[in-house]
Order: sequence, then C-alpha cells, then structure tokens
Amino acid sequence: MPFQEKSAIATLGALLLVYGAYFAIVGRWLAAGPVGEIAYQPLMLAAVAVLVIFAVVSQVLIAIVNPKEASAYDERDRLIDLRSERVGGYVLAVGVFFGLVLAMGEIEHFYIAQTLLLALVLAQISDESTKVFLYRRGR
Amino acid sequence: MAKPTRVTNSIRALRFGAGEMTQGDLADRIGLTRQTVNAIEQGKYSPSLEVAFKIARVFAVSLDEVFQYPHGIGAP
Repeated sequence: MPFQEKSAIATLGALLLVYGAYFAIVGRWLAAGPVGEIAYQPLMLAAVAVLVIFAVVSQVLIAIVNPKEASAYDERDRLIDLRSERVGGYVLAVGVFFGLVLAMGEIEHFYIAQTLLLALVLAQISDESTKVFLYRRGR
Repeated sequence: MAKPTRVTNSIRALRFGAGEMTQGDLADRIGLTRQTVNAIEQGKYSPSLEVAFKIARVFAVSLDEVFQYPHGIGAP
C-alpha cells in the first residue's frame, strides 16, 4: 500500500473521529439551550488543533514504519492528488455557497460557522476518500 | 467511475526475462514507486509517454513490445 494511501486512511479516520465528536457535542449544546449562548469557538479551535497534531503524529509514525516509501512520490501520486483535490474543491464550493446563503439571510453566526466548518470537513473527507478509492480501483 | 485502461503490457514477462528483476528494481531504475509499477503491470494505470519509453529502454526493447493497444481502436 503506498505511503499516500496509508496517510489518507489515517487522515480519514481522524477526521471522522474528531469532527464526529465535535458535531455530536455541538448538537447536544444546541438541543440544550439558545444558540446565542453557545460558546462553540474554543471547542472548534481545539478540534482543529487535535486534528493537526494527529495528522503530524500519524505521518511521522507511518514514515518511521516505512522510511523508504515516505519520500516516494511519482506521477501517479501526483495525478491521484490532483483528481481527489478537485473532488474536494467541488464539495467545498457547495458548502461555501450554503454558508453565503446563510450569511445573506443574516442567520446567527453560529450556524454560518458550523456550515463553513462542515464544508471544510466534508471537502477533506471527499478528498481523502477519493484518494483511497483511486489507489485501490486504479484511475 | 474510473475505467480500467485498455492498454495491456508485457512488463511482468520482460522482468522475468531480465533475470527476475523485481518490481522494486524496475521502479528504482525509472524513478517510480513500486506500487506504481505494480499498478501499471495490472493495467490499473497508464503511465506517461516518458515513463513508457523509460520502461522500454530498461529492457532494451521497442515501445510496442512493452505496451499493446487493441487493434481497430482509433483507426480511421
């Protein structure tokens, strides 16, 4: 399995775990009280920080286990990167569009922030899962 | 949906004919990863023309001894 595929699987797992937990917590807060009182910012920043730390640690661990593969990157990897990033780009554009619609409707900042974060998360999930799909299925 | 390529190749046979060269050895000689050489061999990936020429050069054969394309496709 190529280094990039392992790394994509690790990132995918981290994204689902960290943001799954984030949205579950925020959802509970939303059910418990008024939107205006939810201080989601520290949790959002913590989720991003945890994800970055996990991404760095997992890359280092995968590289330690397969030192030769860690620096290997060729034309197929580049092509798969481009294709999966394009899929992620479409998803991000749709998510940002929804964020804009909410902003134009002068909806609570809370919802706009969650929509934009969800757009980023779904875009990255699409990017990484397309990558795994292309490595396995062939392009 | 990704389609498998219709290009077939004889890389596996050529490797065995060249002293049982491994996928890793071939990959190192042409600057690819072993996984990409494997994907090419299995018909999951069509390499660039430059890589195709490099592979042919490693085995000292012509391009169409390495890669084949079904007759009739693209013919006028």
